[in-house]
Amino acid sequence: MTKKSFGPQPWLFPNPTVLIGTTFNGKPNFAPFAWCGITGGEPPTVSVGVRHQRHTLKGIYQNLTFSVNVPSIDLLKETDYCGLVSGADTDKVKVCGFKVFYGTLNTAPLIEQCPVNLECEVSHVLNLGIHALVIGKIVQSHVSEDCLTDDQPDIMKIKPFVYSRGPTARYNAVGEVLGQAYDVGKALKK
Amino acid sequence: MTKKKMGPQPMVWPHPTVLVGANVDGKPDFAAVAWAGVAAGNPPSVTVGLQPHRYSLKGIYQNRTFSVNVPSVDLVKETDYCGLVSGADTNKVKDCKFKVFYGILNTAPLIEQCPVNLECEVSHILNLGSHILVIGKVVETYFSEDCLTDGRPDISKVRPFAFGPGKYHVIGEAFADAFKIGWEIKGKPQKTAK
Repeated sequence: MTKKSFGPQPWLFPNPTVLIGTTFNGKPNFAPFAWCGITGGEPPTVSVGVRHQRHTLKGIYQNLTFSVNVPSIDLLKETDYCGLVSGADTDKVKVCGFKVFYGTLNTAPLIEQCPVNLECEVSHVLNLGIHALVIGKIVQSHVSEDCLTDDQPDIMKIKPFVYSRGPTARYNAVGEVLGQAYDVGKALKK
Repeated sequence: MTKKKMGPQPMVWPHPTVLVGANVDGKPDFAAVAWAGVAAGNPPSVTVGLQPHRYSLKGIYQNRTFSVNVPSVDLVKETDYCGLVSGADTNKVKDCKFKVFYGILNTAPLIEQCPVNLECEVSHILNLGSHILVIGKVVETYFSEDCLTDGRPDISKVRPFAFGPGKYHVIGEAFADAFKIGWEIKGKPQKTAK
């Protein structure tokens, strides 16, 4: 067997790249996260792993709300920028030219330019070591109308991207369709 | 503003597509899961959302261990198949011709054909309604040697795929460096001499 052991590593690929929105002392802030995923379907829930010292986590603790904004590749630079600086000393909304709006929750800022926006209420926070795992219940979803096909979200129009580690940290686009889910596997059914 | 409200929806796209392995009654089984993600870095932890009636969950409860196997595009049919049938009445290992190996944990089956394999010990289980959230601490990681570049993991050789609504998608070429491209928005602050 030609496998190499690396010790414990968080290498579950691919990772999405999203902008988590929070309000701290009344001011909206956004930070990119790749350690984020869907955790449940009914109610729909999402998790995000946040280091304890992050400005984002301060806002989450203040309001127990946050947003998940899925950027398109057009917002690549802005997304990366939000991970290079801290909301503690930078107004990322201003620098990135984000148009912020609010939905049902008053403390979960949403970015109009991001095709998909989820408003979340915190349901659980777990201390997993150097990261806090924040689990949120999605209370409302917003999708840009120009990213819909037959009224349903179209990932080829949303154009999200993934974060990949190795050999260096990079972003990759989501490419062409490989196959229909719950269908391509039927070839193996007897 | 031209946004459409869709009600609460699990729309964090794209989702990864992984094969979660567990031993049920001593027999290895694998399930295709898109609702999975990284939870934390030290110790490295991952999350997997499974419906309560799933066969693999039975194995996770039995042993408190599981594996996460990252398939390449070459395994898309096998991965999808593992989401179409249940291990309760199907031997997926046999049907998919998976070569199973074990690492440190004796009850977390790993698939040799998958370029990346994580062995996990359950640290938390949360009931989130329709799904049980299993959080696992990664105790060992295996990488196929032909997916390394200069001894380091290379995702372009792993060729994982993503799950969008209803479809599997390839991951494209890397098109920008993370923690770098963002400085084009506003110049990188110059370090001041101390």
